[in-house]
Amino acid sequence: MESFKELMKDGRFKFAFIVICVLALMSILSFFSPYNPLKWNVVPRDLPPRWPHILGTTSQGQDLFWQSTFAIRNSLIIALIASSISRVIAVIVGLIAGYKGGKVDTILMSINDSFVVMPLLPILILIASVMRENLTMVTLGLILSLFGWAWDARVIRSQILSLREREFTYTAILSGTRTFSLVIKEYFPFIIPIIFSTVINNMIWAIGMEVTLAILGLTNIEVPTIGTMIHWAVNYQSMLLGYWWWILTPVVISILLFVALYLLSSSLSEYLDPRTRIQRIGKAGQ
Amino acid sequence: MDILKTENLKSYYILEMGETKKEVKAVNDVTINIHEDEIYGIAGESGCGKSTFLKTICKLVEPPLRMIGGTIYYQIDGKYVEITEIKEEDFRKLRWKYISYIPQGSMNALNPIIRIRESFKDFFTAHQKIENEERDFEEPLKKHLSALGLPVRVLKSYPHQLSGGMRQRTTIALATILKPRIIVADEPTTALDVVAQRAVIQLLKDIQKLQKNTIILVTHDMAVHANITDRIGIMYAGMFVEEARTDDIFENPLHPYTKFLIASLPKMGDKTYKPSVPGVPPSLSNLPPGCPFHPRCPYVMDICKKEIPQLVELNTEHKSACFLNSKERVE
Amino acid sequence: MLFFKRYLLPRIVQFLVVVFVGITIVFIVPRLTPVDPVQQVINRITAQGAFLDPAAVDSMRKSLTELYGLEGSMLQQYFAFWGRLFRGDFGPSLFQFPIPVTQLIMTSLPWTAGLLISTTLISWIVGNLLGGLAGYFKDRRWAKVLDNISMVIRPIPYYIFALLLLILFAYLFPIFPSAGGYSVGRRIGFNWAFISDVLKHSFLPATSLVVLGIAANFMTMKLIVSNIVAEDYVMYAKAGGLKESKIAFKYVLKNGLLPQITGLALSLGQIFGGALITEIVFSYPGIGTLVYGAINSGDYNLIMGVTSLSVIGIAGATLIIDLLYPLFDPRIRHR
Repeated sequence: MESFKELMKDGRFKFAFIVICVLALMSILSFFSPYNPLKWNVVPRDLPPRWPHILGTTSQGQDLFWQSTFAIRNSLIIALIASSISRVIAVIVGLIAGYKGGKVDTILMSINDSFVVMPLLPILILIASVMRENLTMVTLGLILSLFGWAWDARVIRSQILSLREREFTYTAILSGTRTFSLVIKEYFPFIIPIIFSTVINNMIWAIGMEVTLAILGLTNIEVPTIGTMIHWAVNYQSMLLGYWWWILTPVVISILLFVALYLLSSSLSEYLDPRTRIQRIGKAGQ
Repeated sequence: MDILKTENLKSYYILEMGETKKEVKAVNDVTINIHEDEIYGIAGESGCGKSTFLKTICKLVEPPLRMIGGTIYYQIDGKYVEITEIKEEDFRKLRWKYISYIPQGSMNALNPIIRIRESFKDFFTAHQKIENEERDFEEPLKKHLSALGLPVRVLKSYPHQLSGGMRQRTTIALATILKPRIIVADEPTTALDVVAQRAVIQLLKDIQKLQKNTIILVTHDMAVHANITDRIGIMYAGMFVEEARTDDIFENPLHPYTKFLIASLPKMGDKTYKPSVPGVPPSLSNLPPGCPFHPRCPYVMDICKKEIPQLVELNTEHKSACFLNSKERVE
Repeated sequence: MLFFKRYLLPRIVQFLVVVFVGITIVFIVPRLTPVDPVQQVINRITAQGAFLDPAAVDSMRKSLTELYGLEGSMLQQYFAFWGRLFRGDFGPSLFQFPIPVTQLIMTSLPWTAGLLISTTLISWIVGNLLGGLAGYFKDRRWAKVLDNISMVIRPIPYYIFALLLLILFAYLFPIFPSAGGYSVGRRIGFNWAFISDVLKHSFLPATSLVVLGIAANFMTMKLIVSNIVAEDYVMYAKAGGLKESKIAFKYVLKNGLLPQITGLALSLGQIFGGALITEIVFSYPGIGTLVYGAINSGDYNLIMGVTSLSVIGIAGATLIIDLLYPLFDPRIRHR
């Protein structure tokens, strides 16, 4: 609670926190939506924003506000699936590479670096274009998690490498602690902050990928996500026809979401970094 | 004549976290005079404020460190100048020509991606114009290096190609290229092996003999002090607790803390147990009232717990800040 | 020799591993899915209303199977795949039959390469320069303004940003053409009229790549520099009274650029993905638009060709940057 109070003094964190809360609230509202998001022509078409359709309606006869609540919810679900599973992979790879070292480390890291360097978008396009209709939200989350672990596995590995050299590791090993319980008891407290600081960035990446693939028409475009909303708006030439509210709603929501997540992660990691902490403290003294 | 003097100098690290404010009193009311043409040593345990004192007198103060009070005078052409009154750009010009700095032996003081010659040139041209490369720079540089016994080939190297000792000697050559009046050396022998330490000490001695400038040498290593310094100031918890000629201090230390420091030194043929200072140094952010040494002092008296003893001259050029000594005087 | 063993060899091996892993993924993916690509193409053709008798379907299936390299056991297919790759043969395009995929890619490649190389260079140089200076003079007003701007731009994905630019400059303030690589009907040639037309058309796509690229480089460089200013040699240069500008450029920026060279190598894959997206938004006649067409027409051969080539291209470019790195860092060059 104390640290939350201090974080709220950071303008970036405050902004991000409020935006995330609003978006989270919207995604909860989706459960109370009067309309079925998968059905068309439930409201009059092409209405500009005014009561009761505060964000307007689409050419498909859908209410943009309620559609957005579903879109935010679904995009967040995909991002959470992708980032949580990829954390698990990253932790496993990072732990094994860092703890075993030697040949295992070399091989794992060289695969790891391949995933870092690889142009992921064309590969994801290939996968998605093969799967097409079978690409549900859960499968998309899974696929993204298979590609989104490499950066963070490296971070975890280097943390483990430095922990392995510390005194307590030797003490633990010499006193006969088993590897598994050593890792769980002694190393995890150091790994958890890394998981938290990387999870947000990974979510940003996953949402971005979802948006990209959806706009290309490669996901299940019937399900409302931020990406599919943009897809339909672009497909119906909403911009040319002057239905600006249609394209603007998902674009603004996505920008708010991306910026808020980014600010959240950067203010958090700055807060957790002991060095910038000292600098900040020093500044306050002036 | 004094080349540099401070009056009631105070430098604190100020840390502020939310509502709580923390002051680390690294330099706490220091008044000293440093003469021309001498090697002045500053000794003390790590964390006693030695390095901070050096940073303050070199005007290398950056937050969270702040100079809280007091004055620092440089003597420039026979006149005392208060350094906070010197403009930033003018002070920049004073650096290296008037006062230069030798970093700790473990520091990577040289830009790792340029050759040593480049580093020399950067520091040189910051203060002196080069019209003719050969005449104004190359020749004096080579002369300077050979006078200090350094091979000219180091100029062609990158820092990582030199050994630790060689790198430190190169840094010393770099710090003395413009023959500064004051050289400030912060633990120049730390992290070097014994042979390299010896070479560095000899180099500092040679330079001082050659250029007749003042060296302010900070090290916790009393053996180095015995070897090279003319006078020594002993620092404890941000204050100077004793100051005297080097031979004086080793023969007749007055402050109990100095006595411990000297007594802990090994002597030839002496195989007795060496007592070290009992207890631990106080936290600079939470100093005990009165004399900061009193919790560790075997001769502690009531007054020590209440009042801070002042640094007073007891014998010729021998000052000490201890009620034990001043009381002896009074009685 | 030691340099070769310690520095060059691991990088060359890494290049081979990237290519191996990437190409293997490209090979496996279409075969792992329950979807039979051959059946899918046939379905699409029959769905378009054409009636085919079973014999014709059979022969089509056979030729498609051959076309996809789906004959024989998995292992045979795999080796055949590599064999064709070495010959630069990705088979014919399914949609623009029988033009070879390679030929289609080669027509689009110069557009993408031109856009990608120029924007990457510009954003790398400008972003690092600004980021380095803003990191060094972090208390100046302009540094804070730039910091806030890039903080907001940085997390926006290419697609969204390109859409924003399109809304702004092609519809609201129609200054730039919204689509294409050059005006319809203009003759391609090496003359000023054509070049200026191309530049005008590539302005918006280039801007979207450059702005995002600058913001990304800016943020990373600022972080790097905030560590470098605490380095001993920077403090020492200050103690030595060097001029601020000299410290900023020769001591801080120059050292900060080194990790950014490696960073560039690592982020090439992402930049490439961004370029694909930008091309699609602006209908720029490069690889991205080619891929988009292939997605819409179900042209697997083309998608596989582009994916394989981009893996090799990006891995190759990364290798080149890695091999050039010792030129900038004497600590690697002189062990």
